[in-house]
Amino acid sequence: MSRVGIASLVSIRGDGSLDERELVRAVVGRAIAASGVTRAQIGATVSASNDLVVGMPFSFVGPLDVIGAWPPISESHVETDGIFALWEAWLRLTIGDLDAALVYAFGRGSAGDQGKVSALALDPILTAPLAPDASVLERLQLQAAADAGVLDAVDVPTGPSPPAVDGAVAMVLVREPLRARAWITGFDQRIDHASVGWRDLVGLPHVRAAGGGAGMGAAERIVLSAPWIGQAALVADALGAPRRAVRLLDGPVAPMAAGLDAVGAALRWIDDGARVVGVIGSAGPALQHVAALTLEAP
Amino acid sequence: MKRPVAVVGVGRTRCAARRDDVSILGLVREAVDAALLDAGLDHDDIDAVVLGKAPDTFEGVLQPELMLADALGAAGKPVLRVHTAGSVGGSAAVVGTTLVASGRFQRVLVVAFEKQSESNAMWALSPRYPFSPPALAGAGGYFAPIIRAYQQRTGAPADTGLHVVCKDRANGARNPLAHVREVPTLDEAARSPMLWDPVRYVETCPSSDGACAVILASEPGDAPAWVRGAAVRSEPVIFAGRDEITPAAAFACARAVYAEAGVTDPKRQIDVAELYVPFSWYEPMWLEACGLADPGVGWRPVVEGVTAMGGALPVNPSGGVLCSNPIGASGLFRFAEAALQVRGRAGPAQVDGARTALGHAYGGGSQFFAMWVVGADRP
Repeated sequence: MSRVGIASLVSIRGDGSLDERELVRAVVGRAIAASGVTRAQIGATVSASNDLVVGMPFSFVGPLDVIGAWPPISESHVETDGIFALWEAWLRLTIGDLDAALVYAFGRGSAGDQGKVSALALDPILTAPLAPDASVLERLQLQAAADAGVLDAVDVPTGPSPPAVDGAVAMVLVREPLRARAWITGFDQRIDHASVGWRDLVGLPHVRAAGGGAGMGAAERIVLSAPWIGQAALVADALGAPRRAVRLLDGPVAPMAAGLDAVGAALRWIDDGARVVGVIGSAGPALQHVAALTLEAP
Repeated sequence: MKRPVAVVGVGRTRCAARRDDVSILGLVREAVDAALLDAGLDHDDIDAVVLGKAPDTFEGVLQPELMLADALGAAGKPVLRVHTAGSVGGSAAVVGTTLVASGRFQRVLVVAFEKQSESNAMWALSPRYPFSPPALAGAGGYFAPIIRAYQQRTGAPADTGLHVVCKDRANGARNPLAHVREVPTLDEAARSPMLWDPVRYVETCPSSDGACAVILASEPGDAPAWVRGAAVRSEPVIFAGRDEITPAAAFACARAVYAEAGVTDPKRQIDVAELYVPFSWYEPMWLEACGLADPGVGWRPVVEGVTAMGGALPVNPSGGVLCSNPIGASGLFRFAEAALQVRGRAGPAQVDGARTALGHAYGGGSQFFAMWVVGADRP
C-alpha cells in the first residue's frame, strides 16, 4: 500500500472582518498551488466547520462557492474539528484509487460567545440547562488530576479561557509517488463516554488507545490542540510519553480549524529537522473526542 | 484496492411529528438496536460509527455525537459526524462505505437522525446571510421557482406532482413506520391549499422525528445487500454557470455511481429506486438526472404509472420523503430501503424479484448529491 502524506498546509487568522467565504478563499488556492498537484488530481474534498459556532445553519455551503467546485466535485463535510476531516480524507486516499485530496476547516470564534456555545454539547435534558461551558468541565478535569496527585494545584487554571479567534486552514493530501512534506505513518481517533461522571478524566484511556493505534510511541515531539497546559501533561501520561514531549498548540485558535493548525505546527517541526512527530486533535469538552496523527519526515 | 462492502443490518424507527415517547438519545438507540438485532451483532462487533444529521441548529445540540457517544455504543471507538444538508444520510452511508472499503474496519455502524420537534426547523431553514434578503420561506420557497421552471421547460402536465404524491401516500399507507399515512384521491390532492405555487400542501414533505441505522461489513451476513457503487458530488450554490433544474452534480453523481456499479442502462438494470423527493415534482426531475427517464420527459413514467407499485420501475415503495421526513435521516432511509429491497426484507414495500436498487439523496440548494447502488449479487 502506497503511503499518504501532506503536500501543503496554509493557515490564516481573521480579524473579524472576513466572513467564512473569504477566510476559506484565502487558503484553498494557496494550499493547492503549494502542493504541486493540479486541481484535476484532487479526487476528494473534505471540509470541517460547525453551524452553532458561526451562529448560522448551513454555514459550510457558502465556502463551497469559493473553492472552485466546478465541474462538480466529490465532497463531504464533517461538523466538528478539521482533524476529523483529515482522518476521513486520509482513509479515502488509502484505498489507492485517488492521487490527492483537499481538506479545509474554518471557524469564526468572533461570531459569538464560544463558551456558551460549548455548553450546548451536553445532554439537552440533564446537563445543558446548567450551562457549564467546556472550560468549567476542563477545570474539573484538572482539579481531579490535582486531587489525585497527578498534577500540582497550580496546574488548575483560575484565569479566563483562551480567546477564540477567526481562522481557516487548507491542506492537500497526496499519495505516493507524489511528493509530500511529511508522510502519515499512523492515524487513529476515539470518542470517550458522554457523561463526565462516567469518564476517566485523568487517565484518558481513549487517548491512550488512539495514540497506540496511531503508533505515536516513536514521536519525538507531540503537539496538542487543547486549551490548558495541564491537559498536555495528562495526554503525555496517557500516551506514555515524557511530559516535555507534549506541547500545547500556541496562540489563540479558531474553533474547528485548531486541529489542522496543530498539524501545521507539526509540519514546521519536520521542516526544522524532526524525524517523527505527533498531533493530538480534540473536540468536545475535556478532550472527549481525540484524534492521534503520527507524521514522518520524507 | 477497495474491499467489497455489504449492508448486513438495517434499523428504522417509526416516524412521527413528535416522538414524545423518546429523547434524542432514545430515538437514536431505537434505530441502533434494531440494526444490531437485524444483523445478529452486538455493540462489541462494531469497529467505528458514522453519525449523520442536518444542522446542529435543528435541535440546538452542538456536535451531538458527543452526548450520543453511549447511545451510539461508540465510547472508545472512532466516530465521524457528517453534515451535508439534506443529503447527509446518504453522505454518511458513502463515508461508512469508505471506512469499510479502506480495509481498516470490519463493521461500521452508520446512523442518522433528526428530531425536528425539539426546535423550530423553519427558523433553522431560514438563515440570514449578510447583505442578502432573508429567505424566510423555508425549503419550499426555495424550490418552487425551480419546479416552475421545470414545468415551463418540459411542458409537463400540471397534475404530474399530484400523481407522485397520491402514489407515494398509497405506498406510505402500507408502511407501518411512516409518519403521514392518509391517501388522498387525485381530486382531493388537487384541492389541497397552494403553499408555494405550484407546490400544494399535500405535495410537501412533513417535519418528522425519526432515525435510521445501517451496518456495513466486509463479510456478508445471512442476507447481504452488496454496495455495488457509492458516490457523492457537490457544486456551488451561487454560480451563474449552473442550472438548478438539471444540476450538473446530480448527473455527475449518477454517472460515477453507475460506472462503479457496472450499470450501463439504468432504465433496465435498476429494479427499484428510493429517490429523495421532498416536493412531489422532484420525482420526475430526479428520474431524469438518474438516467431512469429521458431528459425532459421524466413526467411521463410518473403519469403512466411506471413508478407505482406494480409498474416497471417502482419509485419510493416505502412512501419516501413525502410520507416521512426526519431531514438528517431521510437520505439514510432511502439508502436503507434500497438495501432492504435487494435483501428481500422490505416487507409490504417489497418489489418482487428486486436484485438491483438505487438509493439517492440530495441537499442544500440542489447542490449536494449522494447515491448508492446495492445489489443481491456480490460485486
